[in-house]
Amino acid sequence: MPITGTVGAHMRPLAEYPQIDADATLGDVFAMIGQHFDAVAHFRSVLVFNREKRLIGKISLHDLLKVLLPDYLAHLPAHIDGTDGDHSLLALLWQDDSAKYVREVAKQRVGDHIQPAPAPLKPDDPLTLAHYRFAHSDLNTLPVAENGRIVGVLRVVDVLAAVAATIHPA
Amino acid sequence: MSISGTVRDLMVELEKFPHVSGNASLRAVFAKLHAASGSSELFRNILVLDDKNRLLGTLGLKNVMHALLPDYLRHGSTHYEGTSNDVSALAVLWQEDCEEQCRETHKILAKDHVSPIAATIGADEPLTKAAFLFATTPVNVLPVVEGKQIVGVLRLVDVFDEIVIEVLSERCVA
Repeated sequence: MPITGTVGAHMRPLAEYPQIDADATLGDVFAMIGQHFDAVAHFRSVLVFNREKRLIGKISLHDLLKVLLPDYLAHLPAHIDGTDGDHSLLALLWQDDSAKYVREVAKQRVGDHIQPAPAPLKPDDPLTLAHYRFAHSDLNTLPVAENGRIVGVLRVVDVLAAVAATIHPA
Repeated sequence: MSISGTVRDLMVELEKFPHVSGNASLRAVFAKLHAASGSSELFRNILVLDDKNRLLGTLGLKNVMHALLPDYLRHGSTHYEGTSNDVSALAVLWQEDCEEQCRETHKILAKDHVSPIAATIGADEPLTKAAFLFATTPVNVLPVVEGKQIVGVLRLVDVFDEIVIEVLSERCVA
């Protein structure tokens, strides 16, 4: 389908996108990614809903990695001697002492680590509008809403696939 | 968690990761991405090298999208009348000529739209360092170097896969 299509023709239906309740734990997120979805291959974030089933945000792979960092890596330690500004050397220490920390992190609530959900697109919006919004933001997914309900998700890779189909028609 | 492996264990060798010359066109970039991706989804990054095989930068999907925008949408322009603060309304106008513009991609050069390399990692460095760099740098791939030579690419998704396995095993222990 070419770039002249609509958002609705290119979005992923909501049921196909990883999603979780805000009161679930981070351990539940990892379990869901690990067990129920081929998520890492196709998605870079998980949608987070509240008890009323309203979308309140998302948590990305980058967010999940950040949460797992121990304090001495999460809060860049300018006061630690010997790193010469290369704090990544401290990551070596992480190999040894992080098991206990990870067990604690896994109990934390997902809703405490989310990014707010961006304004949704509509299914009949032109794909060029989605292209514009992606190009001018650091977002990789945009929710799609109809009559106040989230019905799907448009990913940046879906828009580029449409561009590719326009440039190199099958 | 004990991600005990090294970058070399998970990296994609340079020959298997899509890369183009800086003088390649955006059309060639898409062709390369298509060829590398096969029947699965498009690769989300491509390396851009100079004529001596030195790394100029990466071209991600956002770079490509920005390169495709018409001038009146590229700069978040505010000098057009009638748009108020909603410049995105102009995106609707773009529908009229975007197909034609996509076919002009042979005139756009990859080197004009690359992102500089934010970080690299050594092939024999531990995966925990890669996890740290991915957590603190807004990139999805890290070029892997041996000396001054680029030998491959490490992808966020591959590191994350390992971490999921480790976290779940720790969860079972707990």
